[in-house]
Amino acid sequence: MELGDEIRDIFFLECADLLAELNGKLADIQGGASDVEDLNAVFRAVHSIKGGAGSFDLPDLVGFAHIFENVLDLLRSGKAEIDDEVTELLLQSADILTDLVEWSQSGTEIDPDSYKPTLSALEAYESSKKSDDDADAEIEDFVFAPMALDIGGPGPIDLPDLGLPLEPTPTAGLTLKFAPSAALYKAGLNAFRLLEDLMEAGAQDLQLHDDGLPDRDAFDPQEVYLYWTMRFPPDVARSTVEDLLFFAADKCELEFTEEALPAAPPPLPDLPLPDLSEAVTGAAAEAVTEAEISVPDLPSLGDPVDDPEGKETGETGTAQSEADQPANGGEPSEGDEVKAEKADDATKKAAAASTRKAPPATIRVVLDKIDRLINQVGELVITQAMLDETITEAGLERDPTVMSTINDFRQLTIDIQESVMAIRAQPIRSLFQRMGRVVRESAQKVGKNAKLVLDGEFTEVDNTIIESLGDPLTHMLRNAVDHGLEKPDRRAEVGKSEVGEVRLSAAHRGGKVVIEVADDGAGVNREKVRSIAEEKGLIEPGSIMSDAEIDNILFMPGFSTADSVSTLSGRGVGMDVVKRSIQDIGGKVVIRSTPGEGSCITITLPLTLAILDGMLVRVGKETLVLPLTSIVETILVSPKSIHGMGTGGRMVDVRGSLLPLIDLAGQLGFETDRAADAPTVVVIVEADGQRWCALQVDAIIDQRQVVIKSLEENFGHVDSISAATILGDGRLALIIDTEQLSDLMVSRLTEQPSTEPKKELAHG
Amino acid sequence: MGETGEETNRAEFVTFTVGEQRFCIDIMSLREIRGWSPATPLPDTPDYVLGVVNLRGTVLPIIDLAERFGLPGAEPNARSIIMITNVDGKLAGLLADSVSDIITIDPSEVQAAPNYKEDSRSMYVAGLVARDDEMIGLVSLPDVVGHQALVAA
Amino acid sequence: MTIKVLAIDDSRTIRSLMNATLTDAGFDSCIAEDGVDGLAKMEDFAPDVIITDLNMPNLDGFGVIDGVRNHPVHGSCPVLVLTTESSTELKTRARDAGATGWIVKPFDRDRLVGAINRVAG
Repeated sequence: MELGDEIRDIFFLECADLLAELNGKLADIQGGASDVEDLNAVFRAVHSIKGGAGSFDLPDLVGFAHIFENVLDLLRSGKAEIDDEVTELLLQSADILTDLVEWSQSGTEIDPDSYKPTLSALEAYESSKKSDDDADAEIEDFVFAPMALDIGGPGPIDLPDLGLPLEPTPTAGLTLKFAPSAALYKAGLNAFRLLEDLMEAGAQDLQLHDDGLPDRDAFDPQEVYLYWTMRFPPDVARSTVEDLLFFAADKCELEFTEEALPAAPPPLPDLPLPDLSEAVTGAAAEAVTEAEISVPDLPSLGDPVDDPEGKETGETGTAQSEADQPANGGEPSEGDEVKAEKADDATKKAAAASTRKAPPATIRVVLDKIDRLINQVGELVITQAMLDETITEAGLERDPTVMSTINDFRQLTIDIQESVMAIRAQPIRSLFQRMGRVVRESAQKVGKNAKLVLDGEFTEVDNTIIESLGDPLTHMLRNAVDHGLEKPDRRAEVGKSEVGEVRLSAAHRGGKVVIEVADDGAGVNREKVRSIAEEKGLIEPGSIMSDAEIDNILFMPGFSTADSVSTLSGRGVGMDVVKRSIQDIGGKVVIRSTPGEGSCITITLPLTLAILDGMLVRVGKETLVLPLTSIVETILVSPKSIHGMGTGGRMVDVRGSLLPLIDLAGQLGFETDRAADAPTVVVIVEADGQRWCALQVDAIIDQRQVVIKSLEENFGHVDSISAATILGDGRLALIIDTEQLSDLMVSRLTEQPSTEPKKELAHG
Repeated sequence: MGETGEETNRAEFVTFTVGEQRFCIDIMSLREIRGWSPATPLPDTPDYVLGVVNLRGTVLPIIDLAERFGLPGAEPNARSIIMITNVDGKLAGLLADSVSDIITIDPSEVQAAPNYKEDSRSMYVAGLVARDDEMIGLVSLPDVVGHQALVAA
Repeated sequence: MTIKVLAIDDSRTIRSLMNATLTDAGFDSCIAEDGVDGLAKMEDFAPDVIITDLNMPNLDGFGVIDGVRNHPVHGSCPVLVLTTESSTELKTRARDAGATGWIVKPFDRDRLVGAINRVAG
């Protein structure tokens, strides 16, 4: 089918969801907060991956998922107990499954050795539990065996009377009486279709018998009174016929008669049958029971068919129960009871399903479509602003009718914008859950014990932000395990639990997303950091630095601690790269550390990358946007409060504290008509969560949400500018990167490499 | 082009004038031609980057070709035109004085670019083509609007 | 008349495959993602054949079969069980519940179409 590729894509999309579900539930199970439903969900996820993979010729994936599923099946059916050991195995298997899916998707050649150890561990676990299981099965067999004898008891006695050989003769031909019951039609089966199938399989001498028809009075139109007889040539195995009729077997009367080879040739089809049916009616019990007369033959003839199936699926002992089944299913009363019970079961299940909180219905949308929608809403916001201006220009801003409509329109625009943004927001859970593996593997590699504790996984974050957080978070967690946590013996010495804890949390705080990576390790070894930094020429020897400043040296380019280069570090990726990638998505990174108690890296991110709450200011002829989130306050400053510095920089005295003053016009090369001796508007912004600086502007215009338009898309990065936005008149306004601006300014003011990572500016 | 022509190597070019000189660019790189509208200046960028404009929601830079080529150019005015080009998926607007013509050029016609002494045209002109007693400079767009070329001040 | 097939599976991949295969084979197809959804869709869609997965959340395949068989209108609608397992035990359970037939995943188009045609009408 041509649709293959498309469905393949769907498969991998689904795999991603299933793996997220799998990892989520496994995390719950690991945390001890699991119930049977969790195990069922985990089982289903693996089962669905296997089922889908089967359609795409992915043997490694199918094979691994199969064993994984078997182990999960043992657990969910209670044949094996959940313990730490098996949980670890499940987590590991989920990791492998994730890899296999990824490799299958990218078409990477899969090295079986990469998953063999885990596969073997799963197989070993399965067979260890399976052997217990087999013992159970054997006991079951013993329970069933006497029953089989009971039922079969009359059989062997009757059979010799019928003159049928006990030993099945391979060359025997087969005769079949097929008497459908009403139940057959109720199960959606059709006697004529079945007859067609039987004919196709080689049935000959098909005869319809109406001798079962009752008198007119006793006739029930819902009942089936007709039956057929037919004969099969010797090469048709009984098992073949039974397979054909498998789904009908309990809904009709089936009588197989083996003909001895030397028996009379065809022309006597009626003869053996009446004999048999006489024998049947003679045996007071219902006709159906007599069908079981043939049951003793089943194991010998049936085995070769059932066995391979049993082996294929790893089922054991099914051949026996299969042989028993017709006996149980054949008794109408018992069968009905069973059904009634099941119907009851189903109702209960349905009821349970409806009371359980159903997950809200979802649809899958290509991200491009949402991006387009977001862009269009952006245009709408701009058009709205343009309309405002037009109305003001037309002098209509006092017309109550116009303004009321405009206000409605404005509110609606804001609502639409928020709704659209909400579409792209999703819980950070999926990303967080991926981190469990990072911690696990890192800890394993460096011989430490670590557990990851998640908090606030349901915090909703813009999808694009989540995507760009993967690498930085991975690195931070590796770092926390590698450099933050102590070795188990060291932890024991200082009286901590041997298992180190890394806490990953997310929360909305003041219009931003705050993500923290905290460990309960030794904290930053400031002396060591300082000496390394001095050694590497990152800071001036002997310079006076605060603890926080020393801690943040970790983010300086070219810095790397750890006594030895472990397998984790030494990848040429430092925390400076982490900082840069966070900054690239409009975030900030700060580290706090307490010796002996651990470190905490705080990432502050915007809620979305598409919209920004901004303050519009005028500088010369240009309109600029300052992110509202970085603004502390705006004040009017008299020239007296501005002090020149030796280096040419200026400071402004704000209620007694001196802040570096940046003249935006001068800094950005814009002309300004500002009078030197007039009071000046100053916007105080915060950088790095601690440093303040003052931005001098000509006027404050407005506060509003602006749509962020990338400069990088068609141009490139511009120092101190994070992006652009479109104003009401269609013109562009630049959005100021206050962080970078103040970095730049501070370094110019002080010219001291000790306080600011200068190298970063070069990247600017 | 060449859906109609037998010679598939022939290509169509748009000619335009900058500082009284004629140049041309491959028509396949040209998205549209617009009138001049003021650009928002960018800090710390070369002089030939006039700034950025909004084209139906997309932000793109405007390059002053005269400045880029080191030719005397007039201030952008109402008659100036902006050629919106697409080079490797990146859009840019090129400021020129006017657009004149569409010409078909066979590769065999292209002569080696001369060594302009007094300006920086040689960096951006890949070759010359003679038309109507005039030499038309074949502009190498990647060199003019290439990402690196613009950002590196 | 076009045969109407209701396919119930919790795997999006299988649903898409089913839908593509069924539509391509000229059937009128309706897709449901679990047993509850399937039984609900049966009411409006009035399928000629139902194909259901066994292992599903909310209501599994056995629940679907029971739901169909106890339905006053669609009670005798053929129900084919679609599953990765070919275990006789499951097969027997499905039969006892009232299933009409059995298709093993991954299914190929011909087998699927054959199975549907066999039980439809």
